[in-house]
Amino acid sequence: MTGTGAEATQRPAAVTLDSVSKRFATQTAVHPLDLTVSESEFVALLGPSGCGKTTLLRIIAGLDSPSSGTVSIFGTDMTDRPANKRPVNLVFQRVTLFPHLTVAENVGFGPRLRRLGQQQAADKVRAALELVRLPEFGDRRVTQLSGGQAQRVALARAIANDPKVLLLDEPLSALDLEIRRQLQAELKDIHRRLGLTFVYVTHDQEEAMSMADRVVVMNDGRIEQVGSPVQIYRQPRSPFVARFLGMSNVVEATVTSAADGHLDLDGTGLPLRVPAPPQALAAGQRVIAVIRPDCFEITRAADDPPSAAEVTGTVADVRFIGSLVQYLVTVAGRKWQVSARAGSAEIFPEGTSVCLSWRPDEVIVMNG
Amino acid sequence: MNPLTRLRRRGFGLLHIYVGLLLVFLFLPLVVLIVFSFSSSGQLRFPITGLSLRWYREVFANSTVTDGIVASLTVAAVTGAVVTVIGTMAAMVVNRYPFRGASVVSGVILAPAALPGLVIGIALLNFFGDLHVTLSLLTVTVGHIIYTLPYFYLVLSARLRKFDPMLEEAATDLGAGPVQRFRKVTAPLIAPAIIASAFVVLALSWDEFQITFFTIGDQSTLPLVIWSRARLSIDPSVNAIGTLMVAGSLLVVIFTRRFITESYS
Repeated sequence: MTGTGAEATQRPAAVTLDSVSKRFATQTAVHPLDLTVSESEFVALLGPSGCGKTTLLRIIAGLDSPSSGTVSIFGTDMTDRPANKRPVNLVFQRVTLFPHLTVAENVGFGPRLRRLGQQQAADKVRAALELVRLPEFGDRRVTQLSGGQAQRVALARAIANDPKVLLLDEPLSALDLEIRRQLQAELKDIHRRLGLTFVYVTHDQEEAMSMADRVVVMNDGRIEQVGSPVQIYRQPRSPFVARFLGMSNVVEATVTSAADGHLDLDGTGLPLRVPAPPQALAAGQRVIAVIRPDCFEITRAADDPPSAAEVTGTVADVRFIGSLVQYLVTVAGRKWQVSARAGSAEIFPEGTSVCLSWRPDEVIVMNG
Repeated sequence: MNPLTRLRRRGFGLLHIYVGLLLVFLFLPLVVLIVFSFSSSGQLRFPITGLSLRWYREVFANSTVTDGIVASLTVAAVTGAVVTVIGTMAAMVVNRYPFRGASVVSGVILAPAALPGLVIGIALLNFFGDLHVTLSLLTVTVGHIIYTLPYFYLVLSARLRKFDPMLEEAATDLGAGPVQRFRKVTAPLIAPAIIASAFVVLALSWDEFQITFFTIGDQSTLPLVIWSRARLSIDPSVNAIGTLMVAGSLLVVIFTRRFITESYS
């Protein structure tokens, strides 16, 4: 497993996937992969739809069985254990509350199956409903709940079952933005208070970055990168990760010279000279350069000719989105995404001739 | 009032008249039947001269009719029970756990609904004859099972297609084994649809005539009793029997509607 910070590695492993794969009749949903989730960790599986993240979650839950590999939960091999006997619970993407039961009966479903005493089961239901801030909702029919309330009840139902690991499969994706934001904050708070291990599947990079301790970026059944949100954002290891994290300028380039700890890159339309990355790159090699939109500095074009790390271009599009202004700037026929703090800075309208500069040490170069 | 609204109002009025006429056309004969069943006179002529229950007394005094009622109820009950078991299993397996050839099975189950009852009746008559099976209420029941199964299967399948399999997964995830899952989640959710479908079967079997006609032995069901009496002369007691049958069907429909509206989707 990749290094993930000292704190996480000292804790016992809650979930360990060892060369787990999943093949369906015509395609491979998950290529053999390893993943360890530590106790009390909040891990997000992030990727586009069809990348295998939900399949992976269902394999941990026991609702799908892996084609190869083993699944361990707190050190016990669970690969062949049926879903109903695993100490994990899943909050589904769609509402899966039982329509013939009340809210309290739904939440008490697990405790009653485990033959807890009447009083004990009732206590669990009350505690779980209080946790999701719906203490008065016990007697309601589940058909009377709003989408947000239904997912809170689903969360309470999973938690009332005392799972050792809580699995969440895009539980907020069907909700309005405002309710989604609110529930994101509450989920994070619940995670902190219970100290429970969370494995959270999402296709929303902002959700993954803002909630998780560690993000697992998946694509096409493989893990692209594992790391803290900051690591992943600052050091994407593949063009896919860079693109998936949003709005990055990912361009192909050729190394024209590699000397004095610097690389000169050609083919991007920008005169890129960047500090040489750790991997050895020689002149003539094809590489991928990633420049995040916020690496750029945008100013009105001056009369004097641009300096070495500057270029002039034309604003092709402006979008004002509150705290940020997003520009598309055309430089030598290629469009670059540039974001600038709105603040009190001048906002350049379409067609303005502007000057772009960038911090060379923030340009990411990876093998093409 | 603007012209459009006026036009709409007038159109609405026409629609009311049309629906009213349709209802009269559909139900007037039934109303006549019910009114005459309470007439004191033997003459089927308006206006009726007095009210009485004499035709009902006559019906219940006549052992042919009461035997017919008992025979019809017996056939309907056995048909309902058998079709409920077979139909539930078939609908479950085809809709929830599809296998190779499931669509063929589905087609075979549904075929009798598309065949004329006359053809099913003649086919069964030949079939039982070849096997030297004596015609009786048992052969009638077999015919009714074949005839009503598709309707049961259709109604229940419609419900099962709306059943979210993720509910079963949620139950499993919460610790329910296969038996608990069926008892606590699947069965309670599809029970209203099963009961509603069973009532449809009872209603169909209760007044089935064509297939019964070909497969009947010594004992007659109620529709055949009515037919044989009405064939000879229009006996006012037939109106009383008819009214009883309408009442029975109506009760079944009311129950069925109740279960369907209570069913969760």
